[in-house]
Amino acid sequence: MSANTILYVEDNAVNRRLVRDLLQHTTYKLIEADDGEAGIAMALEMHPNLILMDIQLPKMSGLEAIRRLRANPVTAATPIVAITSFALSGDDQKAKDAGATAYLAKPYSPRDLLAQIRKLAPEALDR
Amino acid sequence: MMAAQTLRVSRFGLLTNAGALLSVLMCYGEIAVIAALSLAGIAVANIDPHLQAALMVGFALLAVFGLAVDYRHHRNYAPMVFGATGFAVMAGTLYVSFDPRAEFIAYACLITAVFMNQHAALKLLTDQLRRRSDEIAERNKQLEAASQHKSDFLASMSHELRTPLNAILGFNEMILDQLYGPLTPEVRSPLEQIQRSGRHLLRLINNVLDLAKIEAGRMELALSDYSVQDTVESVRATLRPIAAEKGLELRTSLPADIPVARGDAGRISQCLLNLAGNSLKFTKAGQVEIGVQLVDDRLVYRVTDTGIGIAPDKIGGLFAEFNQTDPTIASEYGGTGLGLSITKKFIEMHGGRIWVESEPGRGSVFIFEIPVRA
Repeated sequence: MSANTILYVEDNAVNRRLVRDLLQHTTYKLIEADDGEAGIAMALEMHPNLILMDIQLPKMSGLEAIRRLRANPVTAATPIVAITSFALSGDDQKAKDAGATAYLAKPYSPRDLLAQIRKLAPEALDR
Repeated sequence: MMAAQTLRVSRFGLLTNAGALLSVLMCYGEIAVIAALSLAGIAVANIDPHLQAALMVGFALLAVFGLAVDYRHHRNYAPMVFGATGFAVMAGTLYVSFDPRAEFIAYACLITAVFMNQHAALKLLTDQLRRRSDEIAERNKQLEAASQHKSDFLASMSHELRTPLNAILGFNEMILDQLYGPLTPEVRSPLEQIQRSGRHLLRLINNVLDLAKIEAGRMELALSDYSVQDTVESVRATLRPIAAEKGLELRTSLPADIPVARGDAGRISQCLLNLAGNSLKFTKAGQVEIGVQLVDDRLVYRVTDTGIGIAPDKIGGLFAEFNQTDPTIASEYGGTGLGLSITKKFIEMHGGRIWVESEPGRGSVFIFEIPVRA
């Protein structure tokens, strides 16, 4: 079994590096996209095991991207973690309504993020 | 005959002048002055019938001239002032005719003149007031827009502030977790301080954002059924490490038969976290208790501590923004100074109220009650 692939859609390069560093010592393989459209294209091409989707994205919002991914049979069942900006403000509900599997409020703890990733896409042990 | 006439003239003059004076007092500008002059003129005219004619014409001209000048502002009551002047002139004319039969009509004319003047003055005053209140309404609208703008600004700022904080807290946590290599104890301590300060900054930003949204009227409660037991238990679980660190007992006390409630559970636990967090902060020894009771159709939440208490004169301003009872408290105990103000607003949004009972040196009880089903 090949390593689990995780797609992180996020426009902020520093945050992308954060997750890259976080996953460096794991068996996960990280692929990145910096806007909603690119994220959808990459998801359809690479079939990631899990998608981390920032909600505030240029061109197409993360919510819209999640809706489109859910509408496509290829990605309809892929777990998606929405990364929302405003804790407790109803963004979590919007993310769930759009079809997100789970959500994480920003700023997120890398520890929590990794736990969430491991829960939704258990790490392959036989690499 | 002439002496008696002069006396009556004086009495008449007094009356007319009193009316004129009232007009002057009640309004401003040319109209009042003209009215006063015309009425005063009648009194003067009474003394010499020949002078009267000249004065009448003069005052009438003045009145017309004044009205013409004022027409733009005063067109609503111009007919009245003009009419009042006319009646006053008529009153004077009839009075100096020395005909006793004319006297009654002269008084009637005088009263009409004064009445019309007053009416004009009142109308002017009302119009002025209306204009002023329109101005104030307009100003209020501008202020509201400015306040909305401020809240929008705060909301977007808070969002912008979180993005770099995500990196600061995130990378720092990963360094602390030794993802980048082993840490020496000397380095760990300042890194932990960065983490604590970063989290404090995050709490501040969160509170400012909440407050901005509340003030902009854009804070909405996410109402749903929730378990009071679970909410209280999760608050206790969150605060337990802090209590343990200070050697304080953190207890909960609620009857088992509290029904499923309706409200914004997230906000209610935020309120309880604020209150119980405060209690832990201001208590050096003893215990903090979170209690809930059902009274009729209201839930009464009580956060009791054995802390430093609050002086009676500080209780009034306790729920105001950035109002910690003592400026030195912030340095000793930390906190954002926004927690209580936000708590109060959330409770009010639930249709409830909050108050505090405290005795300095003995402890405080923060009590809020909200409907079981908001």
